[in-house]
Amino acid sequence: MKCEELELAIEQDGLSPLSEAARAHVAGCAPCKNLLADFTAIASAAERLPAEVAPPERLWISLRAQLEAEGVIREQTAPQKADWWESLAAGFRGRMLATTAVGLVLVAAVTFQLRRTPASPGSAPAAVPQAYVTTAAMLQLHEQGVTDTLLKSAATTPAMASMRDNLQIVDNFIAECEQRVQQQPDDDDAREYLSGAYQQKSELLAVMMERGGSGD
Amino acid sequence: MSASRSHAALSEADAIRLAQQGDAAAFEFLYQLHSRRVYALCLRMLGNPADAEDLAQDAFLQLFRKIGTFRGESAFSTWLHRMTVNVVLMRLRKKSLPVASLEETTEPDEETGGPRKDIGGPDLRLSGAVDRVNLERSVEKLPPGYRTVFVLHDIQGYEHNEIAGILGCSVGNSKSQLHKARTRLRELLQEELRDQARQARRDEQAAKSQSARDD
Repeated sequence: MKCEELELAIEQDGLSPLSEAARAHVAGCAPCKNLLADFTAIASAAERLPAEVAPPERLWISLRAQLEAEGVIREQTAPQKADWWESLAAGFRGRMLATTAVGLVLVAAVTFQLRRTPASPGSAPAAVPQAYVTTAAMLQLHEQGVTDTLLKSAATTPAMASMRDNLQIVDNFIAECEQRVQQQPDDDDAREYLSGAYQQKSELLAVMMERGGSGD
Repeated sequence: MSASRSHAALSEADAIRLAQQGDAAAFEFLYQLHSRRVYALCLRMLGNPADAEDLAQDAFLQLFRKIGTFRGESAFSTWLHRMTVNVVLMRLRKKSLPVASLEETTEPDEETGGPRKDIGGPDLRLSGAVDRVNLERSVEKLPPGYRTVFVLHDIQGYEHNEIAGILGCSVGNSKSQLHKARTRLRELLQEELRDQARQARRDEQAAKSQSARDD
């Protein structure tokens, strides 16, 4: 067997088990011995890398919201009415009750999204947009309003507790996005993420206020 | 979450059937079943969590939108991975990174007509020196075509026939891609080792000079 034939054999049949002829060749050929040892070391190191990595929790939350918005997930077939997602979805159905403040927040978030203007070549890096600061401030005000309402209504249902958890997840995501936008104001992806997260938060706050206000 | 609890006893086939009817818990069951693998694939292919998250979501969105058309001709996971690889490669193309096609990367050596020959290469043995950080860094430098097959086979443990199903190529192409990926990785890892050795020498010299100045 020649070196080229050994390489073909490795390619077609894998690193092991080698045929008798291949083993004989490797035993007497230092470069092929090295090649085989290196390939084995690479494959073995790769095997030790995790084949599965848990995605962030928000991925399913966001995916689910999108699937519901598109009507791919149809609520009437969902099996557990007590599920907090069902509660959240019910809140979205009654969004007509959302407050003026939420409307303003949404407007600000959309404005922020629309005002994204890519930097022209050679221009100085864009500053963090004012709309982003305004949106963040308005959300904070609205969150305070929701907190007050919930305190008054003493809403402590499991669904509400889950929404609070969800709000925390969204808040963490917003913090990450804000940091990235501050570091890289021209990063379109970061700005889109941030805009989406603001909208997600404003919608969640709307549902919380609605359900908290109704005492659910 | 409650959805996965409520459908804990479901088979994948049952979940697919329920998801085709719009059942929220079935969607979540399928997501929980496959999301770790899909996210890991995106992460290895793209090298950063933000992009990986974005594309894992795209892949699942596409999958769930089309789940009504799934007839079970191929394994569900193969179908999902095909979509994932497609969205990842499309993203890489949009970013104008070189994406080696299967044909391009399986072409024989122009001079000999046989496989490219760099057997043995520089005599720098890697054995025992392939650590996780070096390997991950080098995998990120592979052309996307090579990287896809390497990640699917050597990291995620798929067989060549499964990879052929995911990528829509022949088993021979998958084997060839993997071989070339390992060959390129070997070169990259050798470069890495050389760089590290050079850096160590520079550090040593700097330390010696400092020590001489102090004396």
